[in-house]
Amino acid sequence: MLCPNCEQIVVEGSRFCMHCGFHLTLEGWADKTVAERVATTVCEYLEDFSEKTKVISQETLQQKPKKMVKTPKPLFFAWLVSLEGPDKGKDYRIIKEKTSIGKSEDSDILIKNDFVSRNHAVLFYEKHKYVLNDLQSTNHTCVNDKKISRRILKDNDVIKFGEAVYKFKCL
Amino acid sequence: MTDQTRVDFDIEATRVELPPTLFEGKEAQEGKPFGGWLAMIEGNFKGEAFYLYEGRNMIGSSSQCDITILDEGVQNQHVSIRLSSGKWMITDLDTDSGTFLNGKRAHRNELKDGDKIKIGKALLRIKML
Repeated sequence: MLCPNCEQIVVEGSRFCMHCGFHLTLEGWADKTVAERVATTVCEYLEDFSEKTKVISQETLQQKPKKMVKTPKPLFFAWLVSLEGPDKGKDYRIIKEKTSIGKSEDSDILIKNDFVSRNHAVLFYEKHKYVLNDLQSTNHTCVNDKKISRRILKDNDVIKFGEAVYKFKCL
Repeated sequence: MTDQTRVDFDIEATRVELPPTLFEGKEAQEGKPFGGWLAMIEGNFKGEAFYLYEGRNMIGSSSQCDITILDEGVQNQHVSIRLSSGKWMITDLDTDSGTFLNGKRAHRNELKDGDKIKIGKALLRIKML
Protein backbone atom coordinates (compact mmCIF):
# COMPACT_ATOMS: atom_id res chain seq x y z
CA MET A 1 0.00 0.00 0.00
CA LEU A 2 1.22 3.46 -0.88
CA CYS A 3 0.63 6.58 1.19
CA PRO A 4 -1.50 9.03 -0.86
CA ASN A 5 0.42 11.96 0.58
CA CYS A 6 4.11 11.02 0.27
CA GLU A 7 3.68 7.94 -1.97
CA GLN A 8 5.95 5.69 0.10
CA ILE A 9 5.26 2.09 1.11
CA VAL A 10 3.29 1.74 4.37
CA VAL A 11 2.07 -1.39 6.23
CA GLU A 12 -1.37 -2.57 5.14
CA GLY A 13 -4.20 -1.56 7.50
CA SER A 14 -2.24 1.12 9.44
CA ARG A 15 -4.08 4.35 10.38
CA PHE A 16 -1.24 6.78 9.91
CA CYS A 17 1.67 6.96 7.45
CA MET A 18 4.93 6.13 9.22
CA HIS A 19 6.88 8.56 7.00
CA CYS A 20 4.80 11.74 6.90
CA GLY A 21 2.17 11.13 9.59
CA PHE A 22 -0.72 11.37 7.14
CA HIS A 23 -4.15 10.18 8.31
CA LEU A 24 -4.79 7.19 6.08
CA THR A 25 -8.34 6.29 7.17
CA LEU A 26 -9.79 9.70 6.21
CA GLU A 27 -12.72 9.11 3.89
CA GLY A 28 -12.26 9.84 0.25
CA TRP A 29 -8.70 11.07 0.55
CA ALA A 30 -7.25 8.33 -1.57
CA ASP A 31 -9.62 9.14 -4.47
CA LYS A 32 -8.84 12.87 -4.51
CA THR A 33 -6.11 14.44 -6.59
CA VAL A 34 -3.30 16.37 -4.92
CA ALA A 35 -4.76 19.74 -5.98
CA GLU A 36 -8.12 18.89 -4.40
CA ARG A 37 -6.48 17.80 -1.15
CA VAL A 38 -4.55 21.05 -0.93
CA ALA A 39 -7.70 23.04 -1.66
CA THR A 40 -9.72 21.31 1.09
CA THR A 41 -7.01 21.70 3.72
CA VAL A 42 -6.59 25.39 2.88
CA CYS A 43 -10.38 25.88 3.15
CA GLU A 44 -10.52 24.22 6.57
CA TYR A 45 -7.57 26.26 7.72
CA LEU A 46 -9.23 29.51 6.63
CA GLU A 47 -12.53 28.61 8.26
CA ASP A 48 -10.76 28.17 11.56
CA PHE A 49 -9.21 31.60 11.35
CA SER A 50 -12.14 33.53 9.89
CA GLU A 51 -13.73 33.95 13.32
CA LYS A 52 -10.56 35.03 15.03
CA THR A 53 -9.12 37.39 12.46
CA LYS A 54 -10.08 40.99 11.90
CA VAL A 55 -9.75 42.76 8.58
CA ILE A 56 -7.67 45.91 8.87
CA SER A 57 -7.94 48.39 6.07
CA GLN A 58 -5.13 50.70 5.03
CA GLU A 59 -7.01 53.73 6.38
CA THR A 60 -7.23 52.41 9.90
CA LEU A 61 -3.52 51.61 9.86
CA GLN A 62 -2.66 55.17 8.90
CA GLN A 63 -4.80 56.69 11.64
CA LYS A 64 -2.93 57.86 14.70
CA PRO A 65 -3.99 56.33 18.00
CA LYS A 66 -6.39 58.54 19.89
CA LYS A 67 -4.95 60.33 22.86
CA MET A 68 -6.59 59.55 26.17
CA VAL A 69 -7.96 62.80 27.52
CA LYS A 70 -8.36 62.89 31.25
CA THR A 71 -11.51 64.80 32.07
CA PRO A 72 -11.32 66.18 35.57
CA LYS A 73 -13.97 64.76 37.81
CA PRO A 74 -16.50 67.31 38.99
CA LEU A 75 -16.21 68.12 42.64
CA PHE A 76 -19.55 67.97 44.37
CA PHE A 77 -20.78 67.26 47.84
CA ALA A 78 -24.16 65.66 48.33
CA TRP A 79 -25.57 63.21 50.84
CA LEU A 80 -28.67 61.13 51.44
CA VAL A 81 -29.47 60.78 55.14
CA SER A 82 -31.86 58.10 56.33
CA LEU A 83 -34.62 59.45 58.56
CA GLU A 84 -36.52 56.26 59.42
CA GLY A 85 -36.00 52.58 59.93
CA PRO A 86 -33.03 50.56 61.18
CA ASP A 87 -30.57 52.70 59.21
CA LYS A 88 -31.78 55.91 60.88
CA GLY A 89 -29.08 58.54 60.95
CA LYS A 90 -26.91 56.74 58.40
CA ASP A 91 -25.68 58.83 55.53
CA TYR A 92 -24.67 57.97 51.99
CA ARG A 93 -22.28 60.27 50.20
CA ILE A 94 -23.06 60.74 46.52
CA ILE A 95 -19.77 60.53 44.66
CA LYS A 96 -20.72 59.38 41.20
CA GLU A 97 -22.42 61.35 38.47
CA LYS A 98 -24.94 58.52 38.20
CA THR A 99 -26.10 56.88 41.39
CA SER A 100 -28.57 54.01 41.30
CA ILE A 101 -30.92 53.44 44.20
CA GLY A 102 -32.79 50.20 44.86
CA LYS A 103 -32.95 46.79 46.47
CA SER A 104 -30.70 45.00 43.97
CA GLU A 105 -27.17 44.14 45.01
CA ASP A 106 -25.62 46.17 42.20
CA SER A 107 -27.21 49.46 43.21
CA ASP A 108 -24.93 52.12 44.64
CA ILE A 109 -27.34 52.91 47.45
CA LEU A 110 -28.79 49.65 48.69
CA ILE A 111 -32.10 49.96 50.58
CA LYS A 112 -33.30 46.73 52.16
CA ASN A 113 -37.01 47.44 52.37
CA ASP A 114 -39.94 45.40 51.09
CA PHE A 115 -41.56 48.45 49.53
CA VAL A 116 -38.51 49.38 47.49
CA SER A 117 -38.16 48.05 43.95
CA ARG A 118 -35.00 46.39 42.71
CA ASN A 119 -34.15 49.32 40.47
CA HIS A 120 -36.12 52.08 42.10
CA ALA A 121 -34.58 55.37 41.07
CA VAL A 122 -31.48 57.00 39.61
CA LEU A 123 -29.86 60.20 40.78
CA PHE A 124 -27.93 62.19 38.18
CA TYR A 125 -25.56 65.07 38.61
CA GLU A 126 -25.67 67.11 35.43
CA LYS A 127 -24.93 70.78 34.79
CA HIS A 128 -24.45 71.51 38.52
CA LYS A 129 -27.91 70.14 39.30
CA TYR A 130 -29.09 66.98 40.98
CA VAL A 131 -31.87 65.24 39.07
CA LEU A 132 -33.84 62.34 40.52
CA ASN A 133 -35.48 59.95 38.04
CA ASP A 134 -38.04 57.36 39.08
CA LEU A 135 -37.62 54.06 37.20
CA GLN A 136 -41.35 53.19 37.08
CA SER A 137 -41.14 51.70 40.55
CA THR A 138 -44.08 49.86 42.04
CA ASN A 139 -44.48 52.02 45.14
CA HIS A 140 -43.37 55.28 43.49
CA THR A 141 -40.90 57.96 44.54
CA CYS A 142 -42.13 61.04 46.36
CA VAL A 143 -40.32 64.32 46.93
CA ASN A 144 -41.88 66.49 49.64
CA ASP A 145 -45.00 64.24 49.53
CA LYS A 146 -45.49 64.70 45.79
CA LYS A 147 -45.31 61.78 43.39
CA ILE A 148 -42.58 62.44 40.81
CA SER A 149 -41.06 60.87 37.73
CA ARG A 150 -38.29 63.42 37.22
CA ARG A 151 -37.36 66.30 39.46
CA ILE A 152 -34.47 68.61 40.20
CA LEU A 153 -33.53 68.22 43.86
CA LYS A 154 -32.86 71.05 46.26
CA ASP A 155 -31.17 71.09 49.61
CA ASN A 156 -33.27 69.65 52.47
CA ASP A 157 -35.72 67.84 50.17
CA VAL A 158 -37.38 64.84 51.81
CA ILE A 159 -37.46 61.84 49.46
CA LYS A 160 -39.60 58.75 49.93
CA PHE A 161 -38.62 55.55 48.12
CA GLY A 162 -41.69 53.46 48.82
CA GLU A 163 -41.61 53.51 52.61
CA ALA A 164 -37.95 54.44 53.09
CA VAL A 165 -37.55 58.13 53.95
CA TYR A 166 -34.37 60.02 53.12
CA LYS A 167 -33.28 63.62 53.35
CA PHE A 168 -31.22 65.15 50.58
CA LYS A 169 -28.36 67.46 51.53
CA CYS A 170 -26.03 69.25 49.16
CA LEU A 171 -23.47 72.02 49.20
CA MET B 1 15.33 71.47 73.57
CA THR B 2 12.50 68.99 73.64
CA ASP B 3 12.92 65.25 73.80
CA GLN B 4 11.03 64.84 70.56
CA THR B 5 13.11 65.21 67.43
CA ARG B 6 11.45 67.30 64.82
CA VAL B 7 11.46 65.82 61.33
CA ASP B 8 11.25 68.34 58.55
CA PHE B 9 9.59 66.99 55.46
CA ASP B 10 8.37 68.39 52.22
CA ILE B 11 4.59 68.64 52.21
CA GLU B 12 4.55 68.85 48.42
CA ALA B 13 6.29 65.49 48.12
CA THR B 14 3.65 63.78 50.23
CA ARG B 15 0.79 65.17 48.15
CA VAL B 16 -0.99 62.29 46.45
CA GLU B 17 -4.04 61.91 44.28
CA LEU B 18 -6.55 59.99 46.35
CA PRO B 19 -8.59 57.31 44.62
CA PRO B 20 -12.35 57.80 44.76
CA THR B 21 -12.71 54.52 46.60
CA LEU B 22 -11.25 56.17 49.65
CA PHE B 23 -14.40 58.19 50.17
CA GLU B 24 -16.79 55.33 49.61
CA GLY B 25 -15.98 53.18 52.58
CA LYS B 26 -16.10 55.99 55.10
CA GLU B 27 -18.82 55.82 57.68
CA ALA B 28 -19.66 57.83 60.74
CA GLN B 29 -18.57 56.42 64.08
CA GLU B 30 -21.17 54.21 65.66
CA GLY B 31 -23.08 55.51 68.64
CA LYS B 32 -21.86 59.02 68.05
CA PRO B 33 -24.41 61.36 66.50
CA PHE B 34 -22.91 63.59 63.87
CA GLY B 35 -24.17 67.07 63.24
CA GLY B 36 -22.73 67.79 59.86
CA TRP B 37 -19.85 67.51 57.47
CA LEU B 38 -16.73 69.45 56.68
CA ALA B 39 -16.10 69.33 52.95
CA MET B 40 -12.64 70.02 51.58
CA ILE B 41 -12.88 72.08 48.43
CA GLU B 42 -9.19 72.92 48.12
CA GLY B 43 -6.20 71.36 49.76
CA ASN B 44 -4.37 68.13 50.27
CA PHE B 45 -7.43 65.92 50.61
CA LYS B 46 -9.53 67.68 48.01
CA GLY B 47 -12.94 66.04 47.65
CA GLU B 48 -12.89 64.50 51.10
CA ALA B 49 -15.73 65.06 53.57
CA PHE B 50 -15.10 64.81 57.31
CA TYR B 51 -17.75 64.20 59.93
CA LEU B 52 -18.43 66.79 62.60
CA TYR B 53 -19.74 65.33 65.84
CA GLU B 54 -21.58 66.70 68.82
CA GLY B 55 -19.13 68.44 71.16
CA ARG B 56 -15.66 69.68 70.29
CA ASN B 57 -14.00 68.90 66.98
CA MET B 58 -10.30 69.70 66.95
CA ILE B 59 -8.77 70.48 63.58
CA GLY B 60 -5.03 70.65 62.90
CA SER B 61 -2.04 68.94 61.36
CA SER B 62 -1.36 66.71 64.37
CA SER B 63 -2.51 63.11 64.12
CA GLN B 64 -4.13 63.44 67.54
CA CYS B 65 -6.66 65.92 66.17
CA ASP B 66 -10.19 64.76 65.36
CA ILE B 67 -9.72 66.04 61.82
CA THR B 68 -6.17 65.95 60.51
CA ILE B 69 -5.36 68.34 57.69
CA LEU B 70 -1.83 68.20 56.35
CA ASP B 71 -1.35 71.37 54.42
CA GLU B 72 0.90 74.35 54.28
CA GLY B 73 0.30 76.81 57.09
CA VAL B 74 -1.79 74.45 59.20
CA GLN B 75 -0.56 74.23 62.76
CA ASN B 76 -0.67 71.23 65.09
CA GLN B 77 -3.81 72.45 66.80
CA HIS B 78 -5.27 75.09 64.60
CA VAL B 79 -8.98 75.57 65.12
CA SER B 80 -11.84 73.96 66.97
CA ILE B 81 -15.48 73.70 65.97
CA ARG B 82 -17.94 73.12 68.80
CA LEU B 83 -21.49 71.93 68.32
CA SER B 84 -23.68 72.13 71.38
CA SER B 85 -27.49 72.30 71.46
CA GLY B 86 -27.78 73.19 67.80
CA LYS B 87 -25.28 76.06 67.97
CA TRP B 88 -22.05 76.03 66.02
CA MET B 89 -19.04 77.96 67.24
CA ILE B 90 -15.61 78.25 65.61
CA THR B 91 -12.60 79.18 67.74
CA ASP B 92 -9.20 80.01 66.35
CA LEU B 93 -6.53 78.66 68.72
CA ASP B 94 -4.29 81.73 68.54
CA THR B 95 -2.46 80.76 65.37
CA ASP B 96 0.02 82.81 63.36
CA SER B 97 -1.44 82.07 59.95
CA GLY B 98 -4.96 82.50 61.28
CA THR B 99 -8.37 81.20 60.35
CA PHE B 100 -10.54 82.99 57.83
CA LEU B 101 -14.31 82.75 57.87
CA ASN B 102 -15.85 83.89 54.58
CA GLY B 103 -12.74 85.96 53.87
CA LYS B 104 -12.57 87.63 57.27
CA ARG B 105 -10.24 86.73 60.08
CA ALA B 106 -12.09 84.75 62.72
CA HIS B 107 -11.33 84.47 66.43
CA ARG B 108 -14.56 83.26 67.96
CA ASN B 109 -17.56 83.32 65.68
CA GLU B 110 -20.84 81.55 65.14
CA LEU B 111 -21.14 79.40 62.06
CA LYS B 112 -23.90 79.23 59.49
CA ASP B 113 -24.71 76.55 56.96
CA GLY B 114 -22.39 76.65 53.93
CA ASP B 115 -19.76 78.89 55.53
CA LYS B 116 -16.30 78.88 53.99
CA ILE B 117 -13.36 78.31 56.30
CA LYS B 118 -9.79 78.87 55.17
CA ILE B 119 -7.04 77.24 57.21
CA GLY B 120 -3.56 77.73 55.82
CA LYS B 121 -3.89 76.73 52.16
CA ALA B 122 -6.88 74.49 52.72
CA LEU B 123 -10.39 75.69 51.95
CA LEU B 124 -13.25 73.98 53.73
CA ARG B 125 -17.01 74.34 53.66
CA ILE B 126 -19.40 73.45 56.41
CA LYS B 127 -22.63 71.56 55.85
CA MET B 128 -25.05 71.16 58.69
CA LEU B 129 -27.40 68.22 58.97
